[in-house]
Parts: sequence; structure tokens; C-alpha cells
Amino acid sequence: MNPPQLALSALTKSFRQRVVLDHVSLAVEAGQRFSIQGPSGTGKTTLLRIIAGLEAADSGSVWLAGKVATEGAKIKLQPWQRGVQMVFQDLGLWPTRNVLQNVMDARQAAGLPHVKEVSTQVLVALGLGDFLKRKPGKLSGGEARRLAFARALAMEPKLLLLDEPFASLDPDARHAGFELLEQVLDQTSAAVILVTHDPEEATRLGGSQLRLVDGVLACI
Amino acid sequence: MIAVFHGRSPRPWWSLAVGLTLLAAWLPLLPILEPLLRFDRLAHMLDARTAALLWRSTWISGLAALLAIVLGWPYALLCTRFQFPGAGLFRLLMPLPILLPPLMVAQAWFGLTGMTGPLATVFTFGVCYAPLPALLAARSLHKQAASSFESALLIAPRLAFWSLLRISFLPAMIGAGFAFLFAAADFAVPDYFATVGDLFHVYAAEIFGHSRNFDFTAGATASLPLVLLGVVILLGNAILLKRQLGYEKNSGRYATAISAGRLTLPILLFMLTIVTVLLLAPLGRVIFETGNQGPLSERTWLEVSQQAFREGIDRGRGDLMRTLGFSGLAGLLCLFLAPLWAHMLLHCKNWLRLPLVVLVSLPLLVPSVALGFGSILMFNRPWLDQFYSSSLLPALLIAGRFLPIAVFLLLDAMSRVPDSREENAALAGCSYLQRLFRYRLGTQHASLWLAAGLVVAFGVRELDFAILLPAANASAAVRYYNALHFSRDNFVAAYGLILILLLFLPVMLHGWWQSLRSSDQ
Amino acid sequence: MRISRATLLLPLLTLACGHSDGMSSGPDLVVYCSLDQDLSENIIAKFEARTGFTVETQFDVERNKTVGLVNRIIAEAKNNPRADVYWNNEIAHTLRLKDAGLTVAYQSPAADGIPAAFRDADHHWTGFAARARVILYRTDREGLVPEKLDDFLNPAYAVGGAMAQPLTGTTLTNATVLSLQRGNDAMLSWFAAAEAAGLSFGAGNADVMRRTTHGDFLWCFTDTDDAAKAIAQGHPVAVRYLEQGDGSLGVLLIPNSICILNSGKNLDAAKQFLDYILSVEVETQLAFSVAQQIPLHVGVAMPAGVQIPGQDYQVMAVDWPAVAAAISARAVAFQEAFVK
Ligand SMILES: Nc1ncnc2c1ncn2[C@@H]1O[C@H](COP(=O)(O)OP(=O)(O)O)[C@@H](O)[C@H]1O
Ligand SMILES: [Mg+2]
Repeated sequence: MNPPQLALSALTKSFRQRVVLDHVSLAVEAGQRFSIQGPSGTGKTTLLRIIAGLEAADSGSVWLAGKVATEGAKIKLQPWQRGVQMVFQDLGLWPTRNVLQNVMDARQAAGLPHVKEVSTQVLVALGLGDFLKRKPGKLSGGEARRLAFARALAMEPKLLLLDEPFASLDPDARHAGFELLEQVLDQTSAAVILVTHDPEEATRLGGSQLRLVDGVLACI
Repeated sequence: MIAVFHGRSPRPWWSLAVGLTLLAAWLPLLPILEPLLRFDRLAHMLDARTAALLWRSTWISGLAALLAIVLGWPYALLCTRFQFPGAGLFRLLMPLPILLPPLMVAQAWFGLTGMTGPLATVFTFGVCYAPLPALLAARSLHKQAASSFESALLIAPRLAFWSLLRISFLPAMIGAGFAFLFAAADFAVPDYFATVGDLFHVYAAEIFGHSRNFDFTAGATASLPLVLLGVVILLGNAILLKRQLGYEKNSGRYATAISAGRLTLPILLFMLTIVTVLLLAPLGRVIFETGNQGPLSERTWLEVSQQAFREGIDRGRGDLMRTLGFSGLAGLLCLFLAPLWAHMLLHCKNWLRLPLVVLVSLPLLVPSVALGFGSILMFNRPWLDQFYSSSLLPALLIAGRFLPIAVFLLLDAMSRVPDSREENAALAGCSYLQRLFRYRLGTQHASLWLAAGLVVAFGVRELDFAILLPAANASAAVRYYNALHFSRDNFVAAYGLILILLLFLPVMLHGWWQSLRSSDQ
Repeated sequence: MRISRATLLLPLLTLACGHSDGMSSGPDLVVYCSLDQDLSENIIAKFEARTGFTVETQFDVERNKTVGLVNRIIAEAKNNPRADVYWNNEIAHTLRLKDAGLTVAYQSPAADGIPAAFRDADHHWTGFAARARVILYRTDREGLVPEKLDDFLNPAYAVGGAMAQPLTGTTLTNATVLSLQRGNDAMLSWFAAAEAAGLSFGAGNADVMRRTTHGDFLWCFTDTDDAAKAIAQGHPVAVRYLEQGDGSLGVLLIPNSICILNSGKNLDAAKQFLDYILSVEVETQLAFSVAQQIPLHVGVAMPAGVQIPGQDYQVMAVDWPAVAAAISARAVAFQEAFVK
């Protein structure tokens, strides 16, 4: 049997004596989908950042495709060595680069083939075909979100982390957001972890629904 | 009247700011600008000789600006975004070289290396003004959105590094633009390198020569090309700033510093090298100069140096206090004027912005000798005697001259504050001044103090109109230059050091306080 | 509380406006002084101590080579003249003030001992404490050191030598004097020939002196005050007087000069000040200073080793009014020739 795409074992993290993650364990198989719900400030983002290698844990470990990626406070695999992509709460676009460059830069730096063709293709698929030359600062909120998703998809990740991508949207935009999410899911076979505080969003994703409370991950 | 100024409308305050600026900086310019309307003089202006001078000034200042970027940008990048031992100290030292008088730096480097000529001038200006690109780049690097950096880090470290370069490129360019302006207008440094080595001239010498040769209106006319160049650069900077602000809308976390890891030692060596070039080497040389003597002298270095410091304090104390007095007053004025100006530029109609920018920045671009003569012609009247001989006049002129630097800094700072804060305050019925100072500037006090501090520092360095104004004549700069040309090299070095330490102190304290605050958060 | 920060600043501002250097009653005398502050401020302080007057002194810096204050006097005269006395460290610009009608005649009894050549026939100005234009050369090196001006045109001398550009200060005065003797065009070609022979041009007298002490040059053409400082600092250098011997031109002496301005409000104090500055006592003090200025009163004591004009070396005769009349036009011509 193949090792799981992602395995967390007894992951623990605290900030200034406050325990944010308390012996969290989880296994995610290739292509599997999880959603994690929970009120804000409980450590959902922190969990994703530890998985991505942007933050060390206090103890416990992160395994990616059978390799140890984080062991306690030691980051064994650097963020760029993990095959993980993340869509940040505030998107993390590169403001000085235009829409096309945002995607192309990423693919090029990762050494993926057909940089321009694939980048354009992904952008067109997510409805940004008309904005290729625009700087992120000039995009609407929804368009910027599409760009963040497009960039992550173009990296062909094995594991996609989504940190409350639709949190601040009004009801209409959220509806469009769900469509976007479905489009994205159609286009990738990656395992997905979606952090949200919205049950409907979790339902749309399908897969298992989890809840993070007091540092403990539980099934709903 | 008072009620108006307590009111909610910005108009009276803006009018007050514009009025004061006109009084401080434009009134003295009028007699000087008048001959510009006589076109016969202008026609004569760009003959082959002056064109050659202008070209030399341009390339010297251009290379100096480039060097300022090459030194300042990596310095800012490493000490704001990498963790290594001493990073905080290097951050504290970053603004200090701008407080060293360029002439002193020129002398120090000549003493150390014997360098002369145009390239020595380029080097000196590059070293002196490296903090400008560094400070502006550091600011944008410090405020880069964490997610923007981290999303690159998830792909390749190279890409993350590029994101640092890209977010700080325009600010570094803006800093270099200012470096260019200061370098092009400076006469003393090229003059010095021309005296210690082979003679060469820059355009500022032409202006200075005219103002010296009994005809300062000719001097003003001659300065027109430099003024135009300055306006072009300021406008360029304004455009760059607008672009950069488009890149910096972010509400999330700021990125944190990366551990330098295996690169710690090379980074440390690099930073030490730059600090040595920008600060330690010139300071060390100046300290050495305080006790330096000819080979036949019988006194020890320490004796001579101690005497130099004693004299510096004994003879120069009064002048020093006066200088700090009127420069401080100028800083105080800018503390009040610059926010009003910046706010006005932020909110005014688009077509009005350009004329306002020109209005506020022209006094910085004309030679300061011209400003000095202009104020004699305007303000030396029997019924203004008290004003003419009071510290208020130099304070006003310094404030008027260096206001654009403060305005520019605050414009940048204010644009980063969401409009909503101020609009909320307006809805709550706050007065205009509360809105401006408490809500728009509430989180930007560092910039406000930095702006005022820079005005004070430039005021202390100001020589040309200090000679011409009664209250400023007995100032530190005049005494310094007098001693300099009197070959009292020991005294000059000691006095310069005292002056510099006085300027360093508040900047260091401010930086230290800032770092305490940010580590608190 | 609705007190904003700005309202707090206003009293501070008013406070600062009120602070006008404690001159509410005005000084007893206003002196504009181009002689180095280092030399003159003690002398003026002594005058204050003796008379009980308060003197407001305004200094120039050498970078402006006198002209800052002269132009200020002319500019201020248009609306509201302020200075009572102008103490110039050279002479041509004082005559410019006389020509502009800004001076007043005063024959100080203290000036009686000063030779007539250094006094205005109409008593508008008086010269005192002079500097001589001399060669300063290194004693630790072999090489030819000029004995007359035209040696500057000979590469054998010129290559190791330097002088300031004739744009300002005593060098401009010197070049103007020579232009009157030789003709304007001849003087311009003289400079071109000197440059072609290998003579270096620096920005000022003090600067070429300094470079000579650093070893960049074998000799330089400078003023005695700069030379005295170089010797006092312990450098291996000595002074040579040019154009000596029968029928020679002699050395150019450039005195300090002092005049009373006609718009002054304190004429009595100004006269007392002139009597004091032109005294043997002040000339002696200046002679024993680091600048070793040369007393013009006959028979004043001098530091050991300092040569006495007229006795130890010949002095050039100069028509000062003609020099003053020509100097502005010469300055412009030299600027066009040298600033390129
Ligand atoms: N770098 C950090 N330093 C200190 N505290 C932190 C840091 N990052 C997160 N926290 C704290 O950890 C808790 C969890 O944060 P976060 O993971 O962002 O929560 P969520 O995403 O669930 O809203 C919060 O209380 C937050 O203040
Ligand atoms: Mg979160």
C-alpha cells in the first residue's frame, strides 16, 4: 500500500503558553478531501502553515508521501520541496507582476514545462483570459481570488491547502465562489484541505468534515 | 476666527499651510525669479561651455545615485529581512550616514585614500546618500505582506528572493532620485575634490560663481536648468510612488525575517564592509584628524585631540545651541506644516496636484545663496527689524526649503492608512486637526518624527544662507567652514564630531524606541 | 478634551518668535567682518570689554571669499542698512563699497603711522595688517623654485608648482593687478601659457598650500598667512619672495581694510572701533597670531624670523582704485576662461 499523501502525528504547537494544536493526528490519502471548521483564532491557519513548512511545530511530525517533512521544531523539507500549494486568506499575490506573470513566474521557478501555454490555459479556464496584462492591485476581489487559485493549480500540487478563501465575501459573491471552488476541484486531482468556518462551504467540498476546537481535531 | 480653526473643514488649515509656505519660501524667491522672465538672459544660457558643465553634473550625480542604490539597497534588504547576529544594530545604523556632512566625508576619504577628481565626488555622494534608497527600501520590505513572500517560498527560494527585490525596487529608485537631486546641487564636495586634486568643475560651480561675482540674479538664471532637472526628477518620483502604493495595499500580516542559516557569516561580513565604508571609516578618520599634526610637531596625538575638543566646546557651544535652536524650530514648523501639505496633496483635485508639488518643492531646488539674498531683499525693512534678526527667519527659511522632503515622506506614510479611519472620525464629528493628526497620522508617528528630524539635520548642515542672515550667521556651520579654511584641521574635526554626535543621538534613540515597540507587538 | 496636538504647538511657536537673541535694545555697534573668525573674534571681544559696548559681529566664510558680506551690505543698503563698520580681509571690495557711495570719510588718528599708499586720499578706508603674495616651497626636496613671476611659464619650474585659480580672494586681486600692468588679453594668455607649461591650478590659496604640505607640489604661490600656518603645523616648508633685485616689480602686499558705512546708526562707536582696530596694539596682535599678518605701522614688533616689507624685501606699488574698478569685469572673464 502507498503511504498517505499527508500524515500528521501528535502535532503540538503553542504560542506563549497557549496551546493552539494539541497532539493533532491525521492521514490524508492522495486525492482525498477534508474540510476543517472552527471559530477564528483556534489555530486552523497555524495548522496549514505547519503542513506547508512555513512554521515549525513544537513536537510531533508531518509526513508527506512517506517522507518526514517536519519533526518537532526541525523543518526537514523546505516549503518548496513539499509539493504543497496554499491559497492564503489574503491571497499572497505578487503585486508588481501582472496576472499572467504571477502564474508564469511560479511555473517557471518550479521548472515545470510549457510555462506560457499552461499558464494561459489555466487562467482562461478560471475566467481571467481578459485580464492577463493587469496588475493584481487593479483586479476586483473576486478576480484576485481566481488568480490565486489559478496560480496554485498551475503548480500541479499533490496537496492543496485553502485557508478560508471565501471568508470575507457577501452572499452573492460567495455563490460565485462556490462555483469557482467546484471548477477548481474539477481541474485537480490533488488532495485538498479546506479551512472554513462555513458549514455550507464544507458540504460543497465533499469529503470528510473536521472541526478544530481547543487544539483537538474531531470529526463532525 | 478661532472657531474656524477648530472646525471640521480642512480649508482654513490648508490655506494657513500654503500661506506660511508662501511667506517662508516663496516671498524670498520672488526677486530672484523675476529675471527669469527676461528671455534674453535665458537664450545665452546653454552655450557649449555650460552644456558641458551640465552634462558633467548629470553623470556625476547619476553615478552617485547608482552607487547609493548599490550600497543602500542590499544593506536594507539584509538587515530588514534576514536574521543574523547584529541585524537590529545594523538597522539602527542605517540612517546615520545621511547625518554626516558630505564635505566631512569627502575630507575623510581623501585623507584615507588620497582619491580625487569626479570619481571621488561620485563615491562621496554615493556613500553619503546611500541611506535614502536604504531607508525607503527598508520600509517597503518591512511591510511586505507575509502571504506574498510565503506563496513564493512554497515554489522556490529564488522566487521569494525576487519578490523582495521587486517590492523594494521602486522605493530604492525614489531614494536614488533624491540622492541625484542633492548631489547635483552640491558645490562644496566637487569643489573640495577639485582643490585637492586636478581641477574640474560642475554646474553648481557656475551658479556659485555667478552668485559670488556680484550678480546673484545671474546666479538664479544660471540655476534654471538644474531647477528644471529637479522638477523632472521630483515628478518622476511622484509617479513611482503612486505605482508603489498600488503594490502595497495589504491588510494581512507583515512578513518576518528569514534565518540566515549558512549565509550568516558572509552576510555579516558584507554588512560590516558596508557599515565601514558608510560610517566607520569616515568617522575613524575624522577622529584621527582631531589630533593629527605635521611630522615636525612635538605634541602627542592625544594632547592635540583633547585640546581640539576643548576648543570645540568652549568656542563653538553658543553657535551650536543657536543652530540647534533655529533648526529645531524649523523641524517643529514642519511637524505641523508637512502633514497639512501632505494631506492636501492626498485630497486635492488631480489638476491641482502638479502646481502644488512645484510650489512646495521649488525652494529646495534653487540654490540656497539665492534664497538668502532674496530674503534680504524682501525682509530687511525697518518695520521688520525684530523679525529679520530673530531666529524665526532662518527657521522659516529652513522649514520652507526642506519642507518638500517632509511632505514627500508623509505623503507616502499617509497613503498607507486606509481612508476609512479618517472617514469614521469625520462621521463621529471630529475636528479636522483631530482627524489628521490622531486618525490619519495616528499610526504614522515614526514617519512624522523622521520627517521633522531630517529637516533639522539638513538645517544644521545649511551654510549658504546662514552667512547671509543675521540670526544664522553665528551658527555652527559658519564656524565650521571658517575653521576649515583657516586650516584648523584639528578643531574642525572635533567640532564636526560634536555636531554629528548631537545629531546621531536622537536618531539612535528614536530607532531604538521603534525597535522596542515593534518587538512588543 | 478637544485639544489637538497642533494647538499645543502654537504656544511653542509663539515662544520661539519672541526669542530674538536678546537684542531688543539693539547692539551698540554692528560689524561685518571678512577676516577669519578665529583671528578677529578675540580682538572684537577685547574692544567690547574695554568700552562696555555690545558689538554684533557678522562673519563671512572663506568659501565666499569676502563677497558674501559685501553683497549683503549692498543688498541690505537698498531697504534697511544694518552694518556700521565693514572689516575686510582684503581691499578691492572695500573700494567697491566706496564707489557705490556706501562709505563715509573718517580720518582716524590711529592711522597716522600707516604709509599713505595704504590709505584712501579721501579717508573713506584705511589699510592695515597685510598679507604678502609669496612662494611656499618644500625644503626637503630638490627642484627649481621660481624667483620671478615669469618663471611660472618655464616648464622647469612650472611642473612642480601650483597656484589658485584667479577667481576669488587675493589671487583674483593679484591677477587684476597684473592685468592692469600687462593688459587683459596678455594676462589671459599668460595663464594659458602657465597651464601649458605644467603649472597646476587649485581652488584657493589655503588649498594649494595644503597640497604642498602633503607633498603634491614642490611649491605654490600663496599668501603669507597660509605659509605661516603651514610652518606652524610643523611641515618642512619655507617662504620665498618673488621679483626682488634692482628694477624688479616687488612683492604684492594686500592689506586688511576697514571702513565706516554711511548708513550706520552708531557713528561714534564706529569711530572708536576704527581707532582701536587701526592701533599698533591690534596690528601687533595680528602679527603674533598664527596668520602672522604684516603690520603696516612702521616699527611694530614682529615675531622672530618674519621679514619686514620695505626693509627685507621690495614691495610692489599698486593703484588700488584702478584695481577696484577693474576687478568685477576681470572676475567674469577669468570665470569664463577657468570654469569649464
Ligand atoms: N506567529 C505567532 N506568534 C504568536 N501568536 C500567534 C502566531 N501565529 C498565530 N498566533 C496565535 O495563535 C492563535 C491561532 O491563530 P490562527 O492559526 O491564525 O487561527 P485561525 O486561523 O484559526 O483563526 C491565535 O490566537 C493567534 O493569535
Ligand atoms: Mg486563519
